[in-house]
Amino acid sequence: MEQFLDRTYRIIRFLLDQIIGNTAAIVMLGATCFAIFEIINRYIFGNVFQWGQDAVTYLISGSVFLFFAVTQARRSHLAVTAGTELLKEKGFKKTVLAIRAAVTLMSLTMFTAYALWGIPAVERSMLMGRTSQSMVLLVWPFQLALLASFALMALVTAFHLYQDIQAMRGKKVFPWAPVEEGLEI
Amino acid sequence: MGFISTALFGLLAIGAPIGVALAGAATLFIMYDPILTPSTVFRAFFSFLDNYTLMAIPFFIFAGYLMERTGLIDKLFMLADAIIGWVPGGFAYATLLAAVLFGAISGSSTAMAAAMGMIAYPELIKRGYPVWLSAGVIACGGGIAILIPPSITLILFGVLTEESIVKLFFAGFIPGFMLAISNAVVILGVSFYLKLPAGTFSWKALGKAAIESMPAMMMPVIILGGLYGGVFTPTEAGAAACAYALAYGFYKKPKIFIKELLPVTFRAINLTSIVFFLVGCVGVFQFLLANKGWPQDIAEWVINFGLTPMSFLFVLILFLLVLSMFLNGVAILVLTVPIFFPVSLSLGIDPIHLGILFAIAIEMGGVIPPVGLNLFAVSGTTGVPVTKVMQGAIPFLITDGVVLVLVLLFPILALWLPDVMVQSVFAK
Repeated sequence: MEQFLDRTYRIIRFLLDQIIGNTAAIVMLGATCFAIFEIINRYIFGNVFQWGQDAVTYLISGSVFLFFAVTQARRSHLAVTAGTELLKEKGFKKTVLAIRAAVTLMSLTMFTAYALWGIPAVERSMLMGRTSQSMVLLVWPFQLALLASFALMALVTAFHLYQDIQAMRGKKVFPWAPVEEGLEI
Repeated sequence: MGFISTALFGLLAIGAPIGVALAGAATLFIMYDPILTPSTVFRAFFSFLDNYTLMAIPFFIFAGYLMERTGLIDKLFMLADAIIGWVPGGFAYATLLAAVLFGAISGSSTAMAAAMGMIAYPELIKRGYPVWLSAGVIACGGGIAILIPPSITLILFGVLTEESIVKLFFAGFIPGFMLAISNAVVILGVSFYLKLPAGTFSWKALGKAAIESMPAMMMPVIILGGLYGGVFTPTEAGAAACAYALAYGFYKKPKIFIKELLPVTFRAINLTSIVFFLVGCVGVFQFLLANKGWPQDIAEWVINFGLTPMSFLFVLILFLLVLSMFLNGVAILVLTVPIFFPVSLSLGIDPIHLGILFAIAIEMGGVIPPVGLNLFAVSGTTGVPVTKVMQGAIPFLITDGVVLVLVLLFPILALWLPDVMVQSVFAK
């Protein structure tokens, strides 16, 4: 069972870190190049794409939405750790582990709920053919990217929860994925 | 309101990710509210990020990282050293000046402190500067980037409050300059007391450094010139900054630059993702606040309590400084602005003045333990213990406090430049 979970989590992390992460980075790079092209086109050639600003906004936000899951997998979303670190220093290691598991459970609940609540919102946008400000771009694919990201965040958080519960039991699982991967600045 | 604040602070205290705490507490409330439906939270999250102005953040982050890779920061350093390195304690001033110059390129104070830690620290030690001063000047100098355009903090404040980012950028100039001067005063005092070494002045070195750093100096010209001239929106200025950094990188080091482009984009999107996740969660939180009218209730309470605008600002700043002991700058902004901004407006406080006070308080928070990110960035890159960096930051923190009080008491320090510059653009 443990081996199966380890292998599954490795595959998910590979998909997130290598495939989704790099795809999101490439999309962001592409959106940046398009924004640059738009500026040149507007200020030098005097042409304006009505949908230009929308394309930049949605491409960048869409790529960042996908990346949310990568950040969550690395446990890099900002948190206030002063309280738990103080407890750890005072020797309450078990309490800290229990708190961490509780927080992870809460995050899992939130991400799952958002993914589920997002379904009717995306469906509604699809049915109504909701478009961006320029009335050119359809909004639902980007909402779907956010929805997928919440679902992926829920998925990796489920593995985090398993890791945290095992840590409470004194067992170390997924040693290649440390609990505190930290923020890369 | 009691329920949501208890839930929020409870979650924050146990170390929940700030975004999860914000959106989670709001969602818990929405679930039990008879009028609001849960599906609105997803839409609130999405629509808050569906904002063209917000895209300035990833562009400026990306431009900063790209510039870091082109090696232009070293050139800026050489220029700063050639300009001021010849006076006693000159290399410490040069570090400060380079921090201000780099602040005009990168919007992230922590990235700046980390970069300066790698470049300036070994040289400061080599030239006989004490460890505490070297680490302190880097940690505090890095914070000035928050006030110098393009500042991620000011862009975020502008997005959250729908205030003019151009005005905020101009408003940051004088206080940013005052912070640099106040830090220079500390170096002046220390260099007299410790008899710090002086470098030598050479016109030749100055000329060479000026020519070599010219490409770096063009960046603020593009950004500020474009914004001031009314040519660019902040987002376009960010894209133009990226264009410049990419063009320079491809021209100067094409092979290395191509190889490093994807990893640099990866770093930029990583930081953007952290900021955007928080902003999306604030969208959910603000949606609840707006629907329930709680900021108005707080404003009413503050007015009934008899707080004047000045005393309110004073209490708010103390609160921000206390918060900065536990939270980083972006987190402080997203947690406090939705609540206190409407209150400030109802008290007649100028939103631009408020934004600059927030930025200075956050700048100071960058070196206040235990969370001060700049302390850790400098400690991480230099190997100096955090306590030693903190020790070095204390004198600078005191003078920063003086600047904060001055800007609080004299709003004109923040408001004069945007009033003059932005109006004159419209008058053209």
